[in-house]
Amino acid sequence: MQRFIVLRILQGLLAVFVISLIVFALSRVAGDPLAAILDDEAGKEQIERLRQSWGLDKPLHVQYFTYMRRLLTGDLGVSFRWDRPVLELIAERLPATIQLSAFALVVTGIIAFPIGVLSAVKKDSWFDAGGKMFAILGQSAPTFAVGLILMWVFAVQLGWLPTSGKGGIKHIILPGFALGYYNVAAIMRLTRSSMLDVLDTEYVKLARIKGIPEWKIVWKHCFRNALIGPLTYFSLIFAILITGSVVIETVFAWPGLGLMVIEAINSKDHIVVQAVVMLFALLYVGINIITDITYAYVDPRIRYNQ
Amino acid sequence: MSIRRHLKLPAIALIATLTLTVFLVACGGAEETAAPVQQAPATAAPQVEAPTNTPVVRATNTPVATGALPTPTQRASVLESTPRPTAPPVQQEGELVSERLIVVLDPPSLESMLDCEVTGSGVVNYRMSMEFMIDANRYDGEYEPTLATEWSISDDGMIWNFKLRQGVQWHDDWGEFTAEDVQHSLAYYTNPDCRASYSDYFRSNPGAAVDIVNDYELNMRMLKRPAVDFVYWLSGFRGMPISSKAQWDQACPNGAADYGNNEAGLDLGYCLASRDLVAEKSARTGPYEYVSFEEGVGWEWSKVEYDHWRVDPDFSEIEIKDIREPATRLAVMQAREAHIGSVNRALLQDAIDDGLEVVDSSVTATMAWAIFGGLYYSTGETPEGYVEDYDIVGHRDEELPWSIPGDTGRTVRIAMNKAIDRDAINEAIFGGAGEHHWIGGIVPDFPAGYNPAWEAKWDEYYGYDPEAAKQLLAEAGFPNGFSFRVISYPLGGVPEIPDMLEAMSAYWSQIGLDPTIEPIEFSNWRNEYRGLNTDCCIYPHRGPAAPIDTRVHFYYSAERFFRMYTSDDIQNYKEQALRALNESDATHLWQKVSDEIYEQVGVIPGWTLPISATIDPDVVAEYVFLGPNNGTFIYLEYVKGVRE
Repeated sequence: MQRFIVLRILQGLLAVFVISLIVFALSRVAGDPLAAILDDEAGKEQIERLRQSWGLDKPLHVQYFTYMRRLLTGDLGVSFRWDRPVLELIAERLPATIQLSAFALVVTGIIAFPIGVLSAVKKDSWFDAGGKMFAILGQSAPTFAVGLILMWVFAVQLGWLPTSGKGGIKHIILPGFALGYYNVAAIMRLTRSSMLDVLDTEYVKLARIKGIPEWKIVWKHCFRNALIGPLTYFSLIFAILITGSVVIETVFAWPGLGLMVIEAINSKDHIVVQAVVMLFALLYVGINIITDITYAYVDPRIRYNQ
Repeated sequence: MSIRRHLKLPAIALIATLTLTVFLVACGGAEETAAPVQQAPATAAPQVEAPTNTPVVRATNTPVATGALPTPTQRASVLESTPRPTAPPVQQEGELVSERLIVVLDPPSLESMLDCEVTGSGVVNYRMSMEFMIDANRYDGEYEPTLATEWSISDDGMIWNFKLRQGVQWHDDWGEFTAEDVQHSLAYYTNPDCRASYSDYFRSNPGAAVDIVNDYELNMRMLKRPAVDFVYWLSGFRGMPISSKAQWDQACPNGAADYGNNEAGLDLGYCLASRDLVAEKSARTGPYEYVSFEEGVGWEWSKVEYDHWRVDPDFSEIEIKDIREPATRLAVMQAREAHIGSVNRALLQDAIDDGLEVVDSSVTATMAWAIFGGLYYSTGETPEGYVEDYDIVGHRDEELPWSIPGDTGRTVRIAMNKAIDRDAINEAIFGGAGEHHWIGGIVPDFPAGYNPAWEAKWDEYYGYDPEAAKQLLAEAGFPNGFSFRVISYPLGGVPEIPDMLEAMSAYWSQIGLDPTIEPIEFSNWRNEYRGLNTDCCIYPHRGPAAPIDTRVHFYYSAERFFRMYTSDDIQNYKEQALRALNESDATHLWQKVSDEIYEQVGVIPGWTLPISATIDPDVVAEYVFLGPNNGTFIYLEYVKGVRE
């Protein structure tokens, strides 16, 4: 088991290293921050002074090693755009993103589980077809389009909710729903197939013969047993929601990490983009390692196969 | 029973699904607001499709410019501080519908309260709190005495004398505004690490220093050359923001001895130790003072509690919402969550349809045009000094048809200009909002350099005539056309630029040319033109309306990296004009510069365009803004609210 854990961690570190290289290279290809930030009126000397001050005059490999050295000591650098330590910026923005993602996770659960259960109970009925359509629509419609449509209906036309920004509970409903809706299909389908398996088991048939009410069989006996598979994926979704919040935060002007990254990309602020992408990468890799280890702990066949 | 129980939630979900589907379908069938792609027939002249929606209807309260802007030398005369009646009568009785004015804007690339940590447009978020020495009138752009009450230039053009307003207070009890504050502001603005867009003018060319005469009078000494255009740069058009010396010195009790150096060891000229303190809340002299700022959210301001010397604003609070997504800004306006908004041109009709009004900037605000890449005169190195041993024949890439020396290149340039139907593009892509544009960056609103005689030659050089264009190409030795690249990227304020280039390319195809459009990230291309590596392509540009001296400085000067079109003659005329001390000489010389660009067909003129603000007429009774200043949506302290 120890060997398995060490192997997984080493693989994770390798993945993070490769990601750091890719992110570094892509951020350099994306454009020069000086060209993005300084207007045409800026003088040549002014440009060169700033280039030196930001260390952009050094060769790329020197810039990379400087960046990695700082990263290993927990120094994420100072943002070109905001002129503040990136760690400070992330600490400011991360809570808003976690808040939005957590809300979206709840939305996903509230919509996906009931539809998944009922689609299984009413297999091949109009409800089953409708549920599938609803879920697939969420996954196939671009997130920004869903966001804008929700904004138009509930904020502009009906005036029930605010269009954008961060404030009270009302502000989180539209972005939270738009973000969570995307994952409904996956959870709904997993729940449905798990439920179908469980509904076909002998103990369910026995429960029916014993005359237990159908709703009790479905929700108390079947749903709890069918929940294991979807719940595993459900926990992974949180990481997906955090990293996937970029578009929704931009559409709804939600001041989280996603919006900050978009602003940083527009300003070619490599330092912020690298830091946030690395944070997302670490989150993904970390969750995957934990999941792998948990599976290996629960099912010894997995670690032996490694 | 159990079935009904199960169906409650799904039924709701299904209804929501159907609703969403209906809206998706509705959205897909919406009228197209973007400019159409040019698909011209192979033989006929290209047709630019008109937009399918109805044209944008302007609100009736669009301000009208009262006159042309002054020439540089007219502006150099002594101005007295005389109150000018500017605002038309607006109902001033009753209670305001809202005490809080909410403005939704696309955030600038840099946001800070520190003047050296924002670009020109970045000051938009705190313009209501600050004042320049001189401002530009929001109706016509004429200079308005602000912190300076009078100004005059010495006979040799090297010294500007300013008399300062007395009794102006800094926010938060930082004392009274004096000449020391101006001296400090210049030192701060020209510090070697300052990244503000216009700081280079004050630092390098012409460069300036302050000599204090007394608390309320000072001289600004030009360091390198006379500068009759200095007031333009000092004013709200570009502007050197004025900040409080007392506030900046708070962490340096020994004054200059404590100021310190930057990392390179250069003298900073201001108290670096106070930076974070000032960044928290910068004291200004304007009618609003800072309340809060949150990254990604916006700014809040409140009216000063004392009677401000200049204006008593209607609104007691201003909130600026930073929203980057254009569709969201529109939605915010439609939901009446903001009262003034920056809405993209393509979405204006939606705003109007929803009962909002659109007001245009008082004068031409911006221009869009295309550039013949490579019409500069060196091999890639920036020449030193004003006039170098370079010329139009010797050093440019002569393979490029439009760069071929003499008449051949000029004929190609005329042919490419005559291939374009500017009226059709204006209608289809700019919704008819564009107006005639003569030379890249030079507009009749700033009359110096503009020549009314150009009109007579327009048809000959630039007028739409595809058959003549083909003939000219053949005369130039390109009967079968040639291939070239068109670099395309959207630019802030003119998002239609890629469509504009697509349309131009379609027209060029019709005369036998073979353009290939290459979308590119703007900052990457900016480095190309900063490095004089544009001798390959046609590329677009947009710029604010500004006096010819500044436009020539940026676009047509050999010592600048832009070099849209330069020549020895232009350099000579420009240097003489910058040093000219009387109006007729300067105007005559600027005329020669612009005439050469026009006669040589140095660029591909596009359109001048207004900038529009969307307003909620239920809350805002009047909003007048000039347009060409940095940070367009300003003058918020003068907004008149609806009263009932």
